[in-house]
Amino acid sequence: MWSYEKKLQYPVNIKNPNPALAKLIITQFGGPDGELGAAMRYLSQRYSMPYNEAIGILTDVGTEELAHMEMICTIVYQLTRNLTPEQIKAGGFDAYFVDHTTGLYPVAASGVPWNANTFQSTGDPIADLTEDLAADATTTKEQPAFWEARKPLL
Amino acid sequence: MMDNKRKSLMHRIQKYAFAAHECALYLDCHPENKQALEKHKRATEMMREAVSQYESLYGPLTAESAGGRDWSWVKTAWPWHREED
Repeated sequence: MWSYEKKLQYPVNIKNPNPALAKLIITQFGGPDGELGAAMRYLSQRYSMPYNEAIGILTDVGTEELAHMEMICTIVYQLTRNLTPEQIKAGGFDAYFVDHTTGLYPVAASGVPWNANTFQSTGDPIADLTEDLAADATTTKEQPAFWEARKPLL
Repeated sequence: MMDNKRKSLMHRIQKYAFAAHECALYLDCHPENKQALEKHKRATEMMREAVSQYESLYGPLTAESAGGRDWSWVKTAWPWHREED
């Protein structure tokens, strides 16, 4: 089972609402490489894992992904505070807003809803751990060096 | 509204909780590592101390520590509410 702690893993205090940014950040909640998918991946794969060490790390990392999800949702929530209809339209947030207003719904930046097809749980420890390495590699997009290295391609 | 004392106490909890969690992840794959075990113990103790201080001043961080005259769990701010509000 799980128990909830009434705190964020790291503080989030956003001064200025910014719906255009919220539209992008939300992909880290419900996008193909988002925290929801990460949590579901690790917490689904752990049952068939044959090694206690790997079960432990899948459980603890999967749990931590839920805490990451909470921080991302907090960022989106705070970025969409007190919006005027003009700000919603100008920020391109109107398409999201018409369905969800400022409720948190797990979608990718493109608007595609979260889907379990973004991860695998094969029951094979090598296949699953290799999939976890691939998933972890997507987090390099969060690092400035990723974009620096790809500058010539953009 | 979170005053500075409350904010810095919360940041201490977050810091020690993060350190303890990092040690726990390492220990999952190195369960006999004495140095990591010691670091995990120290970070957890510091975190617990900060948590009990925070809870005695500002209310519960878990449902287990809620209660008293009324159900304090729903009387304090949720984490996504801005500290400045």
